[in-house]
Amino acid sequence: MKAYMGVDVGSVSTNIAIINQDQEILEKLYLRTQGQPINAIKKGLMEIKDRVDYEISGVGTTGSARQLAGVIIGADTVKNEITAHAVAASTVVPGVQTVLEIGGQDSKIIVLRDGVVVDFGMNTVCAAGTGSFLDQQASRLNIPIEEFGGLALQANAPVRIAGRCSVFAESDMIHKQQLGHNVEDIIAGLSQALVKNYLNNVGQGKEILGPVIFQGGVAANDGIKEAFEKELGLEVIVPEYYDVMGAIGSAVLAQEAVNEKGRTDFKGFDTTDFNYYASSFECEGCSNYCEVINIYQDDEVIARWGSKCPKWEAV
Amino acid sequence: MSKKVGIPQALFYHRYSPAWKTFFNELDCEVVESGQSTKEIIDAGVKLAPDEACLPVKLFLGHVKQLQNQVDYLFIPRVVSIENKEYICPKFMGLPDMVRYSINDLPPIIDTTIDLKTKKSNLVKSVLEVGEVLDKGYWQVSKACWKGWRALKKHRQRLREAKNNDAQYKIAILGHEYIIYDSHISMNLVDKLKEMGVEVVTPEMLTPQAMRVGLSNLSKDMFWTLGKKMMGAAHYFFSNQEIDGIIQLTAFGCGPDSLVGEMIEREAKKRDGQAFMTLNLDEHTGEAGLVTRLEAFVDMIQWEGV
Repeated sequence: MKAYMGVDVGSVSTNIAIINQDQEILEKLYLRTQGQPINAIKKGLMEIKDRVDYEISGVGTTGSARQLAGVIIGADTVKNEITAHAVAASTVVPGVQTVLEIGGQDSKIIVLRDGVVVDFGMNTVCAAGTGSFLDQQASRLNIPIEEFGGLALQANAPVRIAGRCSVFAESDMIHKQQLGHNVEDIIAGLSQALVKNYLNNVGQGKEILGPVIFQGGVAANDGIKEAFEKELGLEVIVPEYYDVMGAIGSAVLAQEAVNEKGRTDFKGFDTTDFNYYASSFECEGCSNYCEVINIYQDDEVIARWGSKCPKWEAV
Repeated sequence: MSKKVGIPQALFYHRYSPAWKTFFNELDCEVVESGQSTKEIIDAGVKLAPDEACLPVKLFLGHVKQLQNQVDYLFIPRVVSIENKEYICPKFMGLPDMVRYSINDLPPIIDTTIDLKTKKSNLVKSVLEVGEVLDKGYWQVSKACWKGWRALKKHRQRLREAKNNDAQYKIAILGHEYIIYDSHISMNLVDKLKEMGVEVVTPEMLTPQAMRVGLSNLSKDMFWTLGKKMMGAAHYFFSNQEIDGIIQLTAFGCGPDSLVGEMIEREAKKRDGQAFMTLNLDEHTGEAGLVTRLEAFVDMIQWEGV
């Protein structure tokens, strides 16, 4: 059987998905990146290696560390996360017209019509309402993040919270707390505020039509899902593998790439035996002071990026 | 010894540099440019500029600072109007003053007013004023002006003829030339697109006729030249079948952009299947986010083409 692997290395989580030729999901893995993408990639590969006994015919990478991951694994396709998420969404829910995606530090909206992306948006200078902020609030309230969404559903009278900015949202939450509102109502209020912020910010001017699917790590939060349904007046579908959709999309793209190329560049799972590390330096060749990054496999430089001019292009 | 005239490589430099350089060379001056924007220049500009200034003006101040000790004169014209019954953004009108009050110990500034609101021939008055400062006679100045105009015309012709026949897709970039052609703030957007196999079209490449076609779609006359040009270009691109997608570049803090940009975005939404994206740039913009959006945009066009 032919299998394809997608690896999505994001700010908060590193996800791996393996699909078969018919694009059915065989395996999935969700790991925290914990600020160390190289370690997360190695750990993820080692874990998934024990679970698969079939040959990997192609690999794709995506996410903010897609280049790094691509170099280490030997990817057949390195794609941005917007395309990867769109591909996954239309594979899992054919006919989907709107994709809401909220990850660790970014959020996006993708508008599809007839299976083709026609518009997209991504948060710019504000990360209010993304996973990292929810994580932080959960730990401040001493509630495990997994229970955060469930609590919101138990609210009777959600409080009003300013969701424009996460710093002010937090002060607002503290204020409501000190007034004596219960935790459920505060969390529900926060969910609503974040959804409004998302729709005004990322979703501004986008035509949101059903079927709507909600994916990314934050889709685990039922409170946010419910807030979306209420605000949009539409049913919001959370797909079974909502947390690894980027990886699924990347695997589908890998399958396409390999079909075209006729071979894979995958280095094999043994690639984890090598020691990978990165080091950076500030180039003082001109007043741009580029931060150039070297990626090493054992002691050999295998990739380099970060400079504005071709000076450091050759490895 | 010839006098050194410094031209900050920002704002209208990107529109008029061929004319300005030729003009001063013809007046026996040595032109000193501040060079491409760098991080150092942006940082200097941000530090010098008032908080409310837009990113391009902040950048301009950084370029002035760069030239401070290298030149005998700085050329910072007060551009009020370049078209009949129209105006340039107020920040251009106050530019020499803003520079004077933000940076101490500057060489003398040639801040002649360029106001062609009532008639184009006012330009003669402006260039003669420059000639007076540099102590040059009427004929030499008139000839320099003429040559400068010719150089500009040739430059624009070359821009229009630059074609990339290997490119698979054609994307139009809407934005001020001082953003598009500043490779630092635009983060090399044009080159990045070219690397992806895209041919880039900018409003500067449009012929006056094409611009008129675009402008005929406006419901009323606009009196801000730069905004009007943007609207005209947008409409031309909308109706041009060869353009596969439009990317709008706006600078953080630009007042007119916040209105014109919004109008163009709404117009784009009205058109079915028009691939359109707005990118707002500021001094903190991360390159990673920009690349992700560009890649996704090109993917989107490619996908639609299949």
